[in-house]
Amino acid sequence: MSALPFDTFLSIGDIGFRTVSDDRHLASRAGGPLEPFAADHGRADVEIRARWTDTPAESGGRMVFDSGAAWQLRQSDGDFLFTFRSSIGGTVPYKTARFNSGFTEGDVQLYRRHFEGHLSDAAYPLQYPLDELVMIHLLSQGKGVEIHGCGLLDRAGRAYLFVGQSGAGKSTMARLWVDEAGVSLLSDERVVLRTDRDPIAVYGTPWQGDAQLASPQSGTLAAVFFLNRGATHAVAPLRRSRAAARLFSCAFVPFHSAAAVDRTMMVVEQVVRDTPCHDLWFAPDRSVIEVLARHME
Amino acid sequence: MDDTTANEQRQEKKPYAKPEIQEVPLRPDEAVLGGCKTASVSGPAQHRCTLPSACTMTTS
Repeated sequence: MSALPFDTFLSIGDIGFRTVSDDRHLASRAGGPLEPFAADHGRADVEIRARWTDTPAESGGRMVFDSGAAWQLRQSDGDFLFTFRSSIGGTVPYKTARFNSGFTEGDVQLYRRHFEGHLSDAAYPLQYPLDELVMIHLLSQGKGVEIHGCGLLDRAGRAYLFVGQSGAGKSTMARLWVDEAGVSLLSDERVVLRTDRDPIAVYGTPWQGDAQLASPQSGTLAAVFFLNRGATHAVAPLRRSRAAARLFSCAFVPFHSAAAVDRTMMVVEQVVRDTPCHDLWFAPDRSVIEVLARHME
Repeated sequence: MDDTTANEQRQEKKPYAKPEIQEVPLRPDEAVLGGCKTASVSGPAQHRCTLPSACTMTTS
């Protein structure tokens, strides 16, 4: 795999992704929000070989999960086989990916015809949702969990999570903090929690939301706030059982695997056991910062 | 176990609280990474939904 002439590295959540290819377009240094996560060299937890194909084929194997949208997952000889389709391409997959059971090696094939006219900058082998699918499979090995949440970091290296599904106010909350001194935003959309670190570590990701905030920085998890929109601001402590349920509902999990779900539940349990969790009601006003400050020390 | 210890244990017991069912909403399309985010960028300087690729629905 390493004999191919072009390679590029990414590090997200302290997990190293190395992509190799015989086409420099498929292994070019990442730009845009991915750029801060790119490196010339690095440790590779997962190695991905990317190449073009002119004959996209339906993967064989046993169907284990159908997302109901862009991707399906099959299993064959212990390997995981992803198939990606779009409304434009119809039944022909525009991309397939095969990973070993440990997600340490993968082979991505892109259907050349599907990407015609976009070759110079658009053919990114790990394009969503494959990037996050690989991440959640790796994390579910007991490393941690990817969470639908906004993360911020204070000067002391403490990280605070604002968790919620779409429309809960993650990007709104992130924007309120943007100009606050001594605070940096890890993400307004997705964060990675590493519970195999002591204390639990929070990492920003390139998968940004409407506020387009993404940083590779990390910190130690200090508190979790579950977002609710309200007319005024209020913070209330949350029982662990309730916090666990809400955190799990905002976790990205390989649902096809009972073992992965079990491990993620243990991760969630660890987070709510070790971390203060609160319900937060807020109006889109910077005065919420003062209210939150009392719970962020 | 003497009577004193048994009494102490009884006193430490929490009062019974009737179990409650609380619903937590799940969003299947979000949870399985099935949709796209128009504001999110996934590849090199590209928007997730500008390519002829994964977009069959949009989430936020």
